[in-house]
Amino acid sequence: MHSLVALLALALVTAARAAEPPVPVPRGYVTDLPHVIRPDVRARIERLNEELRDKTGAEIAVVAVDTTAPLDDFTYAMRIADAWKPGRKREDTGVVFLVATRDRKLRILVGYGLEGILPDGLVGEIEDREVMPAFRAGRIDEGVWRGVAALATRIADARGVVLTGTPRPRAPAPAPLPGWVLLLIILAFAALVLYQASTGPARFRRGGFYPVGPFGGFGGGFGGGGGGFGGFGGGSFGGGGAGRSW
Amino acid sequence: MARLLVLLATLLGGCGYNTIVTLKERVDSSWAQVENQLQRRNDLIPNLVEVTKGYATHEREVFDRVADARARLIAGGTREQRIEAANQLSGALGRLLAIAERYPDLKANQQFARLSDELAGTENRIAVERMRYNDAVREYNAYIKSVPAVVYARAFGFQPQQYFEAPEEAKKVPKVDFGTQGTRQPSPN
Repeated sequence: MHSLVALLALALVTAARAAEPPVPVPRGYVTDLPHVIRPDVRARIERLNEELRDKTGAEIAVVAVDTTAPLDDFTYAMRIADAWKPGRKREDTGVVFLVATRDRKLRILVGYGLEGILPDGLVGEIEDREVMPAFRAGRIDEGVWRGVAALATRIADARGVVLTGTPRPRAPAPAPLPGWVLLLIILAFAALVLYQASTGPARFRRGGFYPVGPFGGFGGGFGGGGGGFGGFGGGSFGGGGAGRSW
Repeated sequence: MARLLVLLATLLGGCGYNTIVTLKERVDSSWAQVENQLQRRNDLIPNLVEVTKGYATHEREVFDRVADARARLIAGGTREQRIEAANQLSGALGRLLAIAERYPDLKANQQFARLSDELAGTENRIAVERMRYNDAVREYNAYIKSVPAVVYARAFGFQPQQYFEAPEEAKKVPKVDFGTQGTRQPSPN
């Protein structure tokens, strides 16, 4: 009899859980359901996240939704954290950055492993300083970018690495070389090749072939982006972080 | 006699005695996590009260209430008593933070803002650990009532464990709304 009651209770609990609204499926580092983040800002956030993950193992999952109803913003963000698990497994270096545009709510959750670097008070400060002014002015994507950049910079600083994608006014791309310089380089290169070819087996001079290496970076900017998302790392969360409404 | 013991051991192993022990251990370890967060909150309170006192000198009653609840929690006691004390403290802290609405200077204080974020975050952590503890209790309690575990539970004195039930007011994380007034940064208009 007892077991029957227990079983029934369990079934009820399970049913209640199943009735709760599902969290969205992650679409990369930025999951923007109401389309409030411009594609270029989104790409910038993704690049920064990739760099952050490569250098520190931390991951910042950005989620924009219309509303978190019927859940409150904290519970909703926790659901996302538990379902997506951003951050490296066992190190728990994940962050969830949730924006609910219609509710006008912001919630940043910090994984266990980052609580020391990003204490709640500091998260609140970043929200007040970087995010809220832009949100109040109606510029959601600027607020998201500034917030993510501030969080990422803080994590990178604490880990002793530098993020090159961070600086907001991006370093101007190196001025393209004038045509005649390029021509000269090509001619010199051709001459080198011809010279090497004419003087016997190349294997002796293999080393001399690659002085052109450093020029590989022409055109500036960051390649790739977007393609590298293969799911989050498996970090867990304990409820740390801070929230705001605007 | 020896044969009987072997038989008993096999039965115990096969019919869930080990499971009872495992589940009970999970209840205890998740309670330890709750305690960690309660401790963390207790450590935050002196600073928060200190800052608040500087601005809100006439709120003696609220400070006393917080101090009382905190002292009760530190005093220890059974798990049941601690749950009650923790809930009482949540209520008192909610009132403490509500004070800020009446003192704009306090609300604008950087340190107060930081401490209330820390406190709100810790209340959230308590809520998370409370939920995990209650899940562990639910599973354990259901199991020791099920057949055949109920026999061993009775024989070895495994008692149902108490849930950490928070009153509605304590479930609401105390909140100071820094957002609307633009406390640390004047809103750009």
